[in-house]
Amino acid sequence: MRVRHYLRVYLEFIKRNIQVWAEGKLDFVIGIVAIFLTNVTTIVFFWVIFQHIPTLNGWSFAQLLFMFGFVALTTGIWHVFLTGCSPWSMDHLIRKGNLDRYMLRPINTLAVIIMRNIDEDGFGDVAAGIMLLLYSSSMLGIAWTPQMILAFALLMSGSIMVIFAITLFISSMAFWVTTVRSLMEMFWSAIRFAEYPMDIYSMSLVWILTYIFPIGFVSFYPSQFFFQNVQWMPFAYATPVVGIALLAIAYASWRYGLKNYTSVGH
Amino acid sequence: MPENIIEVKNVKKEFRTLKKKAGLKASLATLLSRKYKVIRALNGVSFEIKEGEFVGMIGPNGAGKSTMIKILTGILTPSSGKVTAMGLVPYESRQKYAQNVGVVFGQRTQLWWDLPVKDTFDLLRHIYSVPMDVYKENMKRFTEVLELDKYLHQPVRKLSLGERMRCDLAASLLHNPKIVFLDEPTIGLDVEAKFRIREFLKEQNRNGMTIILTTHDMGDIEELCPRTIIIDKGGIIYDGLTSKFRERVATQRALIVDFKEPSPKKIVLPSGAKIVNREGDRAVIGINIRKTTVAAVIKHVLSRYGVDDIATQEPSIEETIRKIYSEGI
Amino acid sequence: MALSQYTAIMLVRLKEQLTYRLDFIVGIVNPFIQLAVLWFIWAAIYNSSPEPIIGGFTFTMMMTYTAISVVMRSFMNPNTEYWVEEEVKTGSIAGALIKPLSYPMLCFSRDSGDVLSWLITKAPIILFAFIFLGIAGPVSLAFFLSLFLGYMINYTLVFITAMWAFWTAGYIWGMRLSRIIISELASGAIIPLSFFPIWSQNLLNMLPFQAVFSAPLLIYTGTIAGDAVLSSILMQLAWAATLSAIAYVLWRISIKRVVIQGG
Repeated sequence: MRVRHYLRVYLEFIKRNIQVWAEGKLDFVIGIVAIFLTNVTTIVFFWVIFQHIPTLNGWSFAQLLFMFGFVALTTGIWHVFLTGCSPWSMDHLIRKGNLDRYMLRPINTLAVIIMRNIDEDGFGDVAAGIMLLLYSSSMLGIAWTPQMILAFALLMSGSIMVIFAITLFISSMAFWVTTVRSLMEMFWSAIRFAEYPMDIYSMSLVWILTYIFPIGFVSFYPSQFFFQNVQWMPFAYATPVVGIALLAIAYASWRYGLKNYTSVGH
Repeated sequence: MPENIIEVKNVKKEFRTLKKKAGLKASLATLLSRKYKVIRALNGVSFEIKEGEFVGMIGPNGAGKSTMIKILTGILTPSSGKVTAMGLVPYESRQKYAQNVGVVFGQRTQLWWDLPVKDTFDLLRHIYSVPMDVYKENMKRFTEVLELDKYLHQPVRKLSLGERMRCDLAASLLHNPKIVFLDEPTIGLDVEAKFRIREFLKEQNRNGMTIILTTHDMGDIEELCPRTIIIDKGGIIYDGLTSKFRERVATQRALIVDFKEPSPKKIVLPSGAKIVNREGDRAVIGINIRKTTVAAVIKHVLSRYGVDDIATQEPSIEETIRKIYSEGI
Repeated sequence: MALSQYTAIMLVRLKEQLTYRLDFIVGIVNPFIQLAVLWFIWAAIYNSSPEPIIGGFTFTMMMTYTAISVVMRSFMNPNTEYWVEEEVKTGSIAGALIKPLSYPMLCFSRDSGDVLSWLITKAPIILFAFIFLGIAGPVSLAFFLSLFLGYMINYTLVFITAMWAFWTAGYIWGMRLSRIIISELASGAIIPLSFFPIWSQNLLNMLPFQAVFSAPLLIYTGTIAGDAVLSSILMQLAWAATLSAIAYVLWRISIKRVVIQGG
């Protein structure tokens, strides 16, 4: 029952956001194009490197593009739908005292903060991700059967949950720390680790990226399913589970922060 | 006999904040270690509000008033003590509680900046699950009384403060809340807008809405609130009839006089008036209007001294509260 | 008199930066994270290469190049675009222009405050760690001169981008992103230009972006020496002068727009 209510409310928020986009016209397009282009630097990097080497540690150009496309799509979807509660948003909400307003609504605070914001810029990453995935999967001979698509959806959901959980956790830090922007910057630096095949990293780093800061599950492990690499299959399957577990922890952190929220100023 | 709709029992609230110092050396020191201090925002506050009351809650900034409101709306949890409202504990059942509460922040809007006003109303209708017939009826009523027709289809960013305030007010009442918290609803508004809003609020209150008003505008209090609660230094220093409190305020007026140069060394005043402050050519004269009138003092001053400018001033709430604190009601 | 005012602005900015302890820690850790990722990538690249020298660089040279590039990127991040954008959007630009200071100098002082704060608080630790990691290198006067010129050129590019704010009512987000994307690729910050196919190298060498990163980095790693260093520095000087002139002209034209549209 409540779920239907939330979906109905979400629909309304989506309608409002689309209205705002329609007003912004040029901004709308510029934003998407600009974000799309940020992906070009990495693609050019790969391309230039592969002028000099045949494979990267045994991984082909196509496989690298696939893994990068996977991250781009995950990040893109997160960017479009889940930035309402991003650390920057939280910083802003708390410092300007606008969080109070959302706490006074008869619906879950996190939900309404997320629903109010649909960031069209993220479509740039989504577009880049999809293009890269389609291109590289054709180069790799991956056939998109219904089963493959279902598997893709499941793995992608897990990947998105991992990113969402980590960013939500950082966002909840905004309740205690003056500014979380720098933490987010560090996160974006560290995300680069997720763009590359894990076997170029040292054993200890692989361990960290699997069990402590599990961004291995953002792109590398799920991708292994499509490359049919037997040695990493268990990790590939684990992706959705890891996502859910992390999300539970992050949400608990959020609830705790909200409960002890001392709204500042008027 | 109406029931208590809000009960506050011995509420205390403490905050921990960073000790900050000025200067470059201090900034570097902050990098290494941090010192905290505890602030007592509320020191054991108790009161009851009956359904249908219109209560003014005033107090100097930083005195605990906003903290109290935030606890009453469910945003903050008290360090100790208990609050119940409409059978719920606000900070424990926040979402359920919010369904029957309306809040207006004078200085911030809840309307979507880029969209027509009506669209925010529509959105709120969904969020609060307002039945269509109730929505339509409220829209009709609010649009009439607050004269919103012209603004409903305009984007919020194009509205003036007064227009936006009226829309914000309507937006918070769409779901027929039982309790409404208003924070500075008439700030920065012209006389007409204030009048309209006050009339609207009176009508809502007549219809049974419990309203709690926080403001720095004594006019709001005098017009709307039969009862006033004054919070200062974390405690209640007055909880009672506004009329009694009003007498206190009504006795004081201030006159600001800018004398022509060279300003008189000594200024003689009629009984009931005295110099409160003197700085160069400017003097602030306090007038007790039980003993004399503002007009009499002005006449007196003008007839004896060369004057560049005269202005009257009502004492601020802060000053009045300070007086009450030191002299009692 | 004017100098002490600008110094004051710089110091206020420095103070602001010191207030945030977390920012401080992250500011130090961040370059190391970036360096770590790049270290693994380049190690894998060189492992996968039939030749030990790629684009004229050995792995050790590449790591030195990358490490210094990371450090450079860590302090060459002028915030001027953000500030101008904000001030134009909110209209507070009028207030800034009324003050008896040159607005471009005001912007520059603010950013210099950032760099100063970086030098005082983060540089020592970063450099110490680098020495610990064994990434010392030929640090010459020529390098510092080149580095300084690189910073100035970068700043003028940022300032020119910021001027767009006057023409688009503050919306320079797209322009800024474009500048960053082009910079990342064309400046040699991530990959030395010698890796690029020859035809593109010629193109890239004609742009000012390589004068920001590539020029000082090539001096540091000893890739260019002797006369080549001199001509590189002269090239930077030429760019610095040209871009400053363009920035100044653009500034004078842009400021007229503010006056026309009313403060």
